[in-house]
Amino acid sequence: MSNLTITNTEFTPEVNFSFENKTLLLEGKSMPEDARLFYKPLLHWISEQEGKNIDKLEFTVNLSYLNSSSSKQLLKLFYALEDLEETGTKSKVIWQYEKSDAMTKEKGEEFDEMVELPFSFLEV
Amino acid sequence: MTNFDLNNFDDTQMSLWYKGLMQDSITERLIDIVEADQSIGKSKKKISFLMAESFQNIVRHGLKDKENTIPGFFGVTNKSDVISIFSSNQIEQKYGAILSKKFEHVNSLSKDELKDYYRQMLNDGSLSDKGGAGLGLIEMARKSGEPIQYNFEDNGDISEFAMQIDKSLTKESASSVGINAGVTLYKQFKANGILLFFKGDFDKDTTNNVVQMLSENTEDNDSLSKLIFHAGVELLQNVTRHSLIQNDKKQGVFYLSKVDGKITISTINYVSSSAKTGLEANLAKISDKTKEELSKLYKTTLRESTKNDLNNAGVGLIDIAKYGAKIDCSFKDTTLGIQVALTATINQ
Repeated sequence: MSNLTITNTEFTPEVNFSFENKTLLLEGKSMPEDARLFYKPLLHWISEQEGKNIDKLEFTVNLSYLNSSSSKQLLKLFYALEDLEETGTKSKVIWQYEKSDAMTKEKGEEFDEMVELPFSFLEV
Repeated sequence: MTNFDLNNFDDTQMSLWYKGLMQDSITERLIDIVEADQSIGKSKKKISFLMAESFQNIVRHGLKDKENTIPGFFGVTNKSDVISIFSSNQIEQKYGAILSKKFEHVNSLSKDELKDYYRQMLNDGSLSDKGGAGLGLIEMARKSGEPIQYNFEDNGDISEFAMQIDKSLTKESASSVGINAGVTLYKQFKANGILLFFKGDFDKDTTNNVVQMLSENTEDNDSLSKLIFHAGVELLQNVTRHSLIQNDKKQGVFYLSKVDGKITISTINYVSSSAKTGLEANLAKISDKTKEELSKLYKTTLRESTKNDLNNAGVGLIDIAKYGAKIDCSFKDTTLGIQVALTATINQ
C-alpha cells in the first residue's frame, strides 16, 4: 500500500502518510494506552519506503497532546526517517502548535534536540 | 496527603464523585463510568436512567452562577449491593418548601398509585405548575422502588439541597442507604477540595472515561490545565498498566482536588514488589533535580527507551516533574498486595 490513512479518535490522531505526495501527517491527540500497538503500522510504512527512491519526505506533526508512551513511539518514527537518509530519502519535520500552547511547542523543541532531522516550527 | 479517610471506602465496590458544572458532556461520561461496573448487571438501564434524571433535576432547579452555568456535586456509590445516586446543589431557599411537598407526595404513593399519578401528569402537564411532581421525579420513584431521600440546609436566601436515590441490586441486599452518609461524604469531599474521585476497577475503558472527564474539566489550552491533564493521564495509565489483577479486577483510587491554589492528582493501587522497585528507582532519579537536570534526564531516558520494544517509555513521572509538579509516593504492605499512593502536586 502506498498510502496509510487512519481516522482520528478521541485517543489517537489522524494519520495520513502519502507516498504520492511525499507527505506524512499526524494530527490530533495521541494518548492511547497501548501506543506501541497504534504506531506499529506507521513505523512499518516508513520502513517500507526504503529502496523506493523517494528523494524527500515532509512530516507535519500537529499533536495537541502526547502521553509519554506516544512520545516514545514518535521518537521512533523520527529515528526511522533518519534511517531512510542512508538510502537517499531526506526528511524534514514541520512541528505545528497553537499560540497559547507552550507545552506543545516545548515538546517539539525537545524532539528537535534529540533528532538529526531539520525541524521548522509553525504557529497555527 | 489527605484528610478524608480512605478506609471508609473499604467495602465499597465502586464510588464516583464529581464536583463541577452539570452539563451533558460530563453527565454522559459519568454514566459511562458507572455502566462499566460489572456488578450492576441487569440494573444498568435503570441506574443510567436514575442518574440522568438526577442531573436533570439539578439542571431544572439548580441556581445558576455568574457564568450562567449550574454548579453541583454528584456521586454514585455501589456499596454492599446497593447503588446510591447522590446529588447536591444550591436552590433558592423559598423553593425548598415546594420541593419538599413534591417529594413527600411522591414518596407516599404505592407502586400502583405512582403509575396512575404518572398517567395523570402525562395527560395534564399543567398540574406540575400547580405543584404536582414532574414526570421525572415520579419516574425516579418508580424505577428506584424506594422513597427518594432529600435534605435541605438553609443558608439565608440559599438552600443546599441534597437528594439521594437508592436501588438495590439483589433481593438480599438492604433496600437503601441513608442520605446522611451521602451528606457526610459530600462535606468531607468539599472540605478537601475534591473535584473528581473514583474508586473501582481500572480496566482500560474506565481509565479512558476518567481521562475524558479530566479532559472536559481541563479544556483550556493554558499551561496549567495541560499539566493537570498530563499528570492525570500519566498517573491513570500507570495504574492500568502496572496494577495487580485480583479477582479479574485492578482495584484502585483516583482523585483530583484543588485547595488554596494547589492542585493535587493522586492515585492509589496495588502493585507487585518488582513494580515497587521500578517505581522507587524512577522516583530516586527525579528527586531533588532542577528543571534543567530533569529535562536532560527526560531526553536521555526517552532515547534509551527507543532501543526496547516495550510500550512503556519510563519518562511519565520525569516529564510531569519537569513541568513543575511535585511527586510524592508512599508504600504500604496490605493483604491485597503492596499499596502505592502516588501524588502529583501542582501550584497554580
